[in-house]
Amino acid sequence: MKLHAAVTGVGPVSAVGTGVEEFWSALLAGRSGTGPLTQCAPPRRGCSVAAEVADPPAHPIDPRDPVPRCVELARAAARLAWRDAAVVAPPERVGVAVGTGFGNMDLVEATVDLLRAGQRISPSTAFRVFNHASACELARELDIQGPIATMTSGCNSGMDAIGLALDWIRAGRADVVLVGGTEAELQPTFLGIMTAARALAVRHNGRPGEASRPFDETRDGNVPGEGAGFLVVESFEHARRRGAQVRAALAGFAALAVGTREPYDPFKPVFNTAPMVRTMRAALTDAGRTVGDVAAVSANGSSSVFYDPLEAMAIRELLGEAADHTPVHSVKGAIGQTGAATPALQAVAAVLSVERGLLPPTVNAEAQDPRCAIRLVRGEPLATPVRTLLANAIGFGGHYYASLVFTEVDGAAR
Amino acid sequence: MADLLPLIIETIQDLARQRVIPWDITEMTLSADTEIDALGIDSVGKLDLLAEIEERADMAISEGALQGRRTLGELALALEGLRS
Repeated sequence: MKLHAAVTGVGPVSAVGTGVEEFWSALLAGRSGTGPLTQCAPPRRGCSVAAEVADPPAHPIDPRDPVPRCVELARAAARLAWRDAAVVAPPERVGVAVGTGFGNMDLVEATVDLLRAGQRISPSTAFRVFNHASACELARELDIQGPIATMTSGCNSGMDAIGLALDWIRAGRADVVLVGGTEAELQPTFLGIMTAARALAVRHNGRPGEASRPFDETRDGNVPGEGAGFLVVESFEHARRRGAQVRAALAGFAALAVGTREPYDPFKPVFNTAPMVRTMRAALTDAGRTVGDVAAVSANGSSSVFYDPLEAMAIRELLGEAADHTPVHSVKGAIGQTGAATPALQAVAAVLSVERGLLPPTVNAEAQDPRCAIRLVRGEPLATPVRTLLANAIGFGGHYYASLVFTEVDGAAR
Repeated sequence: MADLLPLIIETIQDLARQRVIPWDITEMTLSADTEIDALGIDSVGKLDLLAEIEERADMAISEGALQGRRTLGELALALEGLRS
């Protein structure tokens, strides 16, 4: 069996709270973090709801010392995870991997404004504008000298980065990896593009707390937002040597391309579940687990009209009759679809679910869509042993899928 | 029939003349019974069409309203439903 990695630290920065206990208690309480979009003007006739982070607060980019919001969120979440793990390791044995989809577009937009106004550009812009800036800033701040990488694979970036971290641990490239996803989507460019693609919710603009509705009959699209989620993962051997407290095991990962596919048609969508089922199976195999081991699923469940039923059908196909009793939940009713940050925040929640035996309810899933025939956790949190949890992410456009597997510490492959 | 049908037909014909969607459509007689599939518009063309209808009708069209709509008449009724 392939080795698993020990999760020794988590750091969530989200619209429902920053820090483990604030984040977790809000998820368990079923609190929605979506509200009116305040960071920029909403697109014309578009979504005016957003999942905005209160801590750290958003502010206009300072042209003398420009720090993109994405980097700021990554720093905040990474510091939390780093402290949570109380990392002690030689710097050259520590790696950093960060996922971000849209990156630092806010700095691009601010720079264009300065150029148009004929104003001076700060030289530090060059070091902060690349998608790789978050990883570089974290390495500098925490004196990380081992492997470094940035994954940019759309909304799955945060999950793909975690998969890369697992590979590094298994291959012995690092003893410890600081890994996560960060995204700051609340910019005119991103919102305009996603509005044109008809990806965002508009029906609930007047009731912003109800706009993100995974698996609900009245859902009508994603609610954009911002956030970051980080984990510290390390080899079990390293964690044992330094006496670290292990929250859960990161056991398996798969990210697979769909291949040739029918283009999406808003009038006649084709629900092809095969690629997603293939991905979930591959992640379980990578973890040395079987379908029968799955105790819970953290769904992609993004409130998408198309992908929510597709995912529910895929989960049912994977689990068979066990789908009737295997609990499934989505955190996106609470924190929106915050790009690369969401699968990383899903991972944080998954670790806490495994550690604490609790699954948060799916916020706003009031009238479950009959096409989404899964056992959805709704209303109240579910107390249940979560020995093996499968977490899903769906890449924008349906070109690729990713899944992670977390297990309890007992029985982990060390 | 829904008030939006003439606007939908005019929009389709305009986009066909601009070759955003198949030019052949300019030679077709469109009505409430015209099947959307018969227009031969690809998936991106359909998104272009919906965006143009949104502009002209000054409304937001949510994704879920469109699934299963087979004819232009059904589309018009669905969009009327969104406006009300």
